[in-house]
Amino acid sequence: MTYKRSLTIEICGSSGDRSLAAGEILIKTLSDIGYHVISFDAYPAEIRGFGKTVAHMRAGREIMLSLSSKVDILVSLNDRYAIEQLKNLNDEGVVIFDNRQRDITYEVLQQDEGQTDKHHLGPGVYTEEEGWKEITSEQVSIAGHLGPGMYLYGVPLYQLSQKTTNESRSRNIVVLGSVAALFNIPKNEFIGNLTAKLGKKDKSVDSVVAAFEEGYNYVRENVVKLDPYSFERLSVDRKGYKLMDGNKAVAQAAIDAGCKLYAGYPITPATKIMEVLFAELPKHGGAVVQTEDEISAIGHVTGAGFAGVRAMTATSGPGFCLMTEFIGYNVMSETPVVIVDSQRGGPATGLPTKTEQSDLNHALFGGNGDTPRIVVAPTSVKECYQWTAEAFYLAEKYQMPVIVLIDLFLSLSVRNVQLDPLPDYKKGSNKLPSQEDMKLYLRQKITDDGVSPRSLPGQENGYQVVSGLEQNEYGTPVYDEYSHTVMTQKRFRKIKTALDHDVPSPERIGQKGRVKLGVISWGSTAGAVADAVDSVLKEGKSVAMLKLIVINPLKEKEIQAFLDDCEKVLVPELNYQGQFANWLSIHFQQKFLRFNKVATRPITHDEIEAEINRLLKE
Amino acid sequence: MQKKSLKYVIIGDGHAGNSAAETLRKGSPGSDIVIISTKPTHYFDHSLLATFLLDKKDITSLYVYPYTWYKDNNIRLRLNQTVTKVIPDKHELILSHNERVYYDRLLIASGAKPKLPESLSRYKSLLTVFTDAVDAMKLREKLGTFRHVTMVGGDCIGLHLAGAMLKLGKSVTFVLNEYNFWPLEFDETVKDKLIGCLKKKHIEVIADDMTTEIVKDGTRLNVLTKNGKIVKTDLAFLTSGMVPNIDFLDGSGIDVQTGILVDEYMHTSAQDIWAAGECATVYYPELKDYRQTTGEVNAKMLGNISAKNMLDEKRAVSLAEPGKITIEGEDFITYGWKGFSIDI
Amino acid sequence: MHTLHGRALPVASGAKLARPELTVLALVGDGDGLGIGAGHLPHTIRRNPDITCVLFDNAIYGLTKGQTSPMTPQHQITRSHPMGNPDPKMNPVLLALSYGAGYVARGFAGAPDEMQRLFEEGIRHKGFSFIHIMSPCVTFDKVNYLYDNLRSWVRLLPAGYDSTNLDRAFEIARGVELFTGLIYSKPSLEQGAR
Repeated sequence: MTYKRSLTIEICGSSGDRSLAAGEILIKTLSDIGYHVISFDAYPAEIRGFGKTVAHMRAGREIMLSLSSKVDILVSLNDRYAIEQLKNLNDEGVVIFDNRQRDITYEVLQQDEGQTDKHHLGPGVYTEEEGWKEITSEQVSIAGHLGPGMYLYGVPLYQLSQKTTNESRSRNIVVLGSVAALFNIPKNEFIGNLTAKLGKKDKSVDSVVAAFEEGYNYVRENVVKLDPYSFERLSVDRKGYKLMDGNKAVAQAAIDAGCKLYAGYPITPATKIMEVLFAELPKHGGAVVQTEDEISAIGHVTGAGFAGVRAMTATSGPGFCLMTEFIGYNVMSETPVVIVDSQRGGPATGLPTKTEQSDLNHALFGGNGDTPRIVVAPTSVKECYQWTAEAFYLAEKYQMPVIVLIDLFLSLSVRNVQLDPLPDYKKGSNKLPSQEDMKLYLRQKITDDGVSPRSLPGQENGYQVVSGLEQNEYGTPVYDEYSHTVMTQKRFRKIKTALDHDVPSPERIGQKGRVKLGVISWGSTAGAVADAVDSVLKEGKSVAMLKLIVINPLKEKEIQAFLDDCEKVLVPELNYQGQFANWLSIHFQQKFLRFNKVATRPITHDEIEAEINRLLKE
Repeated sequence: MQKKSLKYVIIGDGHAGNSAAETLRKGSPGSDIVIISTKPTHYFDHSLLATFLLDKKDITSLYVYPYTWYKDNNIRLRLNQTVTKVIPDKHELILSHNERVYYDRLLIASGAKPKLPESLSRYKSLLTVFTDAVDAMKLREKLGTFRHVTMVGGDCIGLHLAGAMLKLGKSVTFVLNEYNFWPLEFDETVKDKLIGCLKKKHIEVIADDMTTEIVKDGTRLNVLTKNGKIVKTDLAFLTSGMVPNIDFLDGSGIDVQTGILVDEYMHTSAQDIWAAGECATVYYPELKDYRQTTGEVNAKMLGNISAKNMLDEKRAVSLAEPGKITIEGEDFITYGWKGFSIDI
Repeated sequence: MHTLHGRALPVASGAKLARPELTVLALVGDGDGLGIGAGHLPHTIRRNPDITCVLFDNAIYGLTKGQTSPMTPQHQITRSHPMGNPDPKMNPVLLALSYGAGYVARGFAGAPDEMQRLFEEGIRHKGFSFIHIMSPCVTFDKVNYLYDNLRSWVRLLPAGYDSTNLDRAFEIARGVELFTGLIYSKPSLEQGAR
């Protein structure tokens, strides 16, 4: 690729245009020829009207953990929808469109289900507010809407699709051929992925490949390429890489970490975790249950945790709220559970399809009483895998709930990742009672590290009572000052032990030593910060970032050392209150500069970069 | 100055079209102005084309205005899209992708393309053209693949191109006759002077002859002439003049001859449609006759006059001052071009 | 494991799924099992895990000192309803039958031998078993579930009662008489526990 560090591509169409399928093939191909990719089809902000779909992806030579604000290449399978996407296109962006449509108003509206009535009223759109409005072809053809420096390439998508497959539905494949030719993407990989996607069914595969070739050849013969973008093959081997989204990574981690029970209730955007596990977990000897509500889901997981197996549930904000009582219960009864919360816009039902980082307060503080819990927030798909697996280990070892906070962006964005195999010692971490312990078994035995040996149901002489009541070492409910004090201390001591033994130092990225600006970030926003810091460092700016994955407990000493190095400290996050900055403010005497958005979309690297540059100039 | 805000559409992104757009914008700040061009590249300076071959500059270095100029002036550019039909009754254009574009007032400034003499039409695929930025870009990409070029005919850009070829160490042959050095005021004295100058530059000149045949010879070409000469060459450039781009006017009812016939106010036979530049055949009151004009100077002037008339400021056309190009210290008179030289 | 109030069924289901070799019982009361956690009952029955749910019904909220529970009869005066409970009570046996439970029985705390037999049968039953036990709250209930009252209310199932006949079971459950014993047991081939 020339000219830019990364390129962002959008394929926009109506629901029948199969733009997402085209996007999948494209991103797979780019990954195969050596690019790092990140796609987020839910990204485009204005999905309105009927069935507008946009495949959105970014590809580059270096690892990328965030999206760009601007699009470089816009492929239109439906001009009317694509026109709305133009406002995100770079000033020197490329537009590919169908330059031989039969009748542009008719065609565009045809694709726009249920909105055309050409025979009676002529092409137009009916809306509640404005009634019937005639549409001119200028309004629905993208060709007249480009900015002056943009590049427009026309390919007769409809004609070529008809010619090769006798239907107009293969326009998405024709355009992939054109994209391959325009941006020098090796053809063989493309065709391989295309046929793999279709499956080797019948002759129709040949005609679809022919559609691809037509799109390719048309560009080679007719189009003068003027834009500087290209994707030649890179000499990097991405064989060990897999394309997956955060949900898939979480599910895979559960399988690999030996999770034997998953219980959940469908909720966007976490549902896919359950779907994947329904298909996969039984093959690995696990059970999956779709429960009547999230309370039942966490109840199932609690029962399994009590029974001594690794178990998990995944949900989003509203479901997480229902689970809250159980968080306290798991703290009190010292039962290991893993709860994945994929955050979406809130409060209440909120914005089910939009990303946000606003459940942090709830994850950290939700529930009554003094309730220590471990909260981890992966920043990338790769870390979704690593830290979900880690969550099982931590939950089991410290007999407490571990909350994995991800968000809709991480859940749904597909990236090519190479997963590191899990270390063996992470696979079983129960602190089981010794023979000595079994002489007089104490479920809630006071220990130095706070962790009591845990007998599992069915163990001889291991009789125990656990409950949500305060208890003494035997597990007998007690309400006296002494017991409540030592038991609360014991529960918090586990957190301290975890901090000392199992929480890694947060990763510092960027300039060493003293810096003008430090950025502390968490969750998916840390991806945007990492990308931004990487790029301002190349400009020689004095910046460093600290990436926090374990949000509770905090590595205070290491964080303080970082703060001491920074003239100013910025904490960007995708929520209104600055929940993470607030959390840090509890722990450190420092003024944190905030950068908060409730944007309904991920913060982009360029937004962070602009903020960094602004603060450096101040 | 107009009060009403109109939609002005200009077909063509060359000297005439852009000069008209600029005038229209000044005269009517609130109106819509759209330039439609079939070319993927944008309004470029012809006199830079040859030097473009000599360096590695970006294609945007050829452009007369940066893109921001269009943004700042709120002029919409529609590049790489072709007008296939004009329907004066409906005030409508049809583009090749079946979009219908409405105009209040239309300027046709679609320019001209290289003229292919009938005798050579069979050899079209063997001839190379060098008229715009895309041609220059393509030629630059294959500079390493040839050593000798032949100019079939000659014109200002041809001279300019020859200069660049010499500088690149290529050898050059001209096959000339009086019909195809048309932008110069051409007579026997001028011809002899020109041949002398070209020879001084170590250019081979085959004068008073005509290319009749082009034959493929392996990877090379043989250019055969009427007088039996055979030029062994790598590339044969077609530089035999221009024909107006007016195919899309078929069936529109607009009067055309060689080019689009316009009166001294640049108005065509159709209501609300003007034409300017190399696509127009203009009535000059001074000559009491129509004339096909060529070149940047004419195009800019005619574009400007058309725009004034489109803004209802009646302005008649007059002949441009002749210009000159210089070769080896000798001046040659031209009507319409400037900035070209073989001494680049 | 003493779970959260009302959540014994999901927790028991989870434990059973995690460790199928364990014998799992969920002991609930009328307050949590028919009140706050009643929503779990139909779904647990539907999923039919091989666990046994015993509902100890004392018709009052005893732990909080005598408020109306879902099993408190209409018009009974309680701490929370000094003017009398306005709502009719629930019918746990009929609920369990309606939701499709494969083993439904009723026992009385004054008849421990029968209770023991029902527990054993219920645990042996492959699939979800539901046992309603009427069990006096001797501290806070002075009018309703008294041992003497219950002893005079309960009836043994008629001789020759066929516990595999679902229609008969519904009749028994709907009636005003408080029959104890095995009211319904799905024939073992159809039990289909998971």
